[in-house]
Amino acid sequence: MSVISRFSKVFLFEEKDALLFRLDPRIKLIKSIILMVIVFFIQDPIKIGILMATLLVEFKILGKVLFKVLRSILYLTPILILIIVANYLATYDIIDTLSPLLRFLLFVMAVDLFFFTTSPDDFSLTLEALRLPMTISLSFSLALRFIPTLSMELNDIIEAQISRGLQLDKGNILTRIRNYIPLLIPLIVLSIKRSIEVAEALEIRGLRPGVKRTSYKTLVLSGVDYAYIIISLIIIIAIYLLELKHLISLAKL
Amino acid sequence: MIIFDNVWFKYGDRDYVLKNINITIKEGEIVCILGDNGAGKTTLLKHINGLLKPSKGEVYVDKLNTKETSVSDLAKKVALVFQYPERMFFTESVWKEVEFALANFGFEEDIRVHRIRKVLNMFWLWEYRDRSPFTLSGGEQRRLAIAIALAWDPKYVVLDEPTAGQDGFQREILIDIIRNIVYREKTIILATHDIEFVFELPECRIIVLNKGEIIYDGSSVELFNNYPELLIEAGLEPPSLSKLIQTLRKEGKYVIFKNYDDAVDKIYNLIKGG
Repeated sequence: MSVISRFSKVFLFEEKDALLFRLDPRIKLIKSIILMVIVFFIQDPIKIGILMATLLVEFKILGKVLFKVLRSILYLTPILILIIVANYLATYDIIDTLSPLLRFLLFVMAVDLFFFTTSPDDFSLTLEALRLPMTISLSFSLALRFIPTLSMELNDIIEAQISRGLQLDKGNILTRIRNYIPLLIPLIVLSIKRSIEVAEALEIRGLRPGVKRTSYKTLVLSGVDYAYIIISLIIIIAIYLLELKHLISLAKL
Repeated sequence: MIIFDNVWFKYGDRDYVLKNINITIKEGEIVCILGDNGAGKTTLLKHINGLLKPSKGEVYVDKLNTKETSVSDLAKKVALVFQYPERMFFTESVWKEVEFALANFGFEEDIRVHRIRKVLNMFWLWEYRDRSPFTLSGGEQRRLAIAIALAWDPKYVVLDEPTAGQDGFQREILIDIIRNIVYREKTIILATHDIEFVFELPECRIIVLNKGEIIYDGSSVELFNNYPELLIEAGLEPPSLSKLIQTLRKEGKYVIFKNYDDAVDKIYNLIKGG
């Protein structure tokens, strides 16, 4: 029970008073995508390490979300172990094992950079700015919006079923899986009911596909946004172009 | 006997939701916990079957300390019916829904059949036994939830907001059901902010919670006659009859009432007299 609630907490958006939260979501998305792409071009684990270090500093100082990011990585431990084992068995080389692992972590951090610092409202504005069809952007933001609600409801259902004698951690693996049926069915029923209610509420408030909509809040780029993306780009390009041999020879001089 | 001994509780590192709660509930009592939204009613109820453990202090259910007893052991003694119990249904028939809890608590087949038959009849649900619980009306679903809770014969029945979303007729049925449960020598603890409902249950002992603290613990007659201001302090509105009587008292007509019917009678006599 506590594992589920802790896990869902990772996905809960918490607004914090920090620079990353105030940035234009489009800028963060661009940086996120650049990082995700560059992961495929940098092989050197040291370069990736340096890039990761800059990101961690950014999470700590600009975003105040370092702890949350580390926790999201912690939940990926099984996948991380799989990557290490598989790569080591394939190459028998520490460097070749480390490189894909670090690249995967960088990828995860790039995703976190956008999702942990962008409110659901900003998220839907970004989707609209990307000119996605309204049905898709709306479904996305609704899905995000309902994660906290569902997690609360799941908690209520768990408590109700435990109160009538359900024991989740009893029996062998098959029984344990079956133990989750009394949780899943009410959750699915509730979600379907809720989706119908939401659809009606949206229609009542005049939502129709194909009709042009205006936004209450519009995204405007500010000087801080430009400064942030330019500095980020300089750092990324510098690390990409960095020749470690030169650095070592420089150090020798 | 349920004992709350100096209970304090907080969620995580937020402020205390329950502050210094001391209650002793004897067998056969009906206890109504009154308070407005966020007063800590549900939090208090969840302590009785061990879903929540006190941050400070102890809760004892029949001498069992809830901190040292598992929820499933406590659930056998304490049936907790939630505010929206209909949200936990998952089987394809009313019969199976009742049977699920009985199976969890390890009752034999013949006892199960006997118990299901008994509670379904008691709550006028027998004719629906093969229907899906999702097709029942709101009131029937609520009755089914209480039936499920009574099926394993718990000593204590805890109801959280039993009248939420129920119409007048269903509330009358609920009052009947509660009296019926007490008649079967069970203890009832219910939390509500539905004052009129409590007013119609004069036999209950009332505990008023305000921001996590107990500000009144005593009989309902005493509260509605003498301390209606406590209800206002707790963010609740006194029952309309009680308000009427307070106004009459200001006009010099001193009336004391024992219960709902008594109050109606006395007011009627006053009007008739003059």
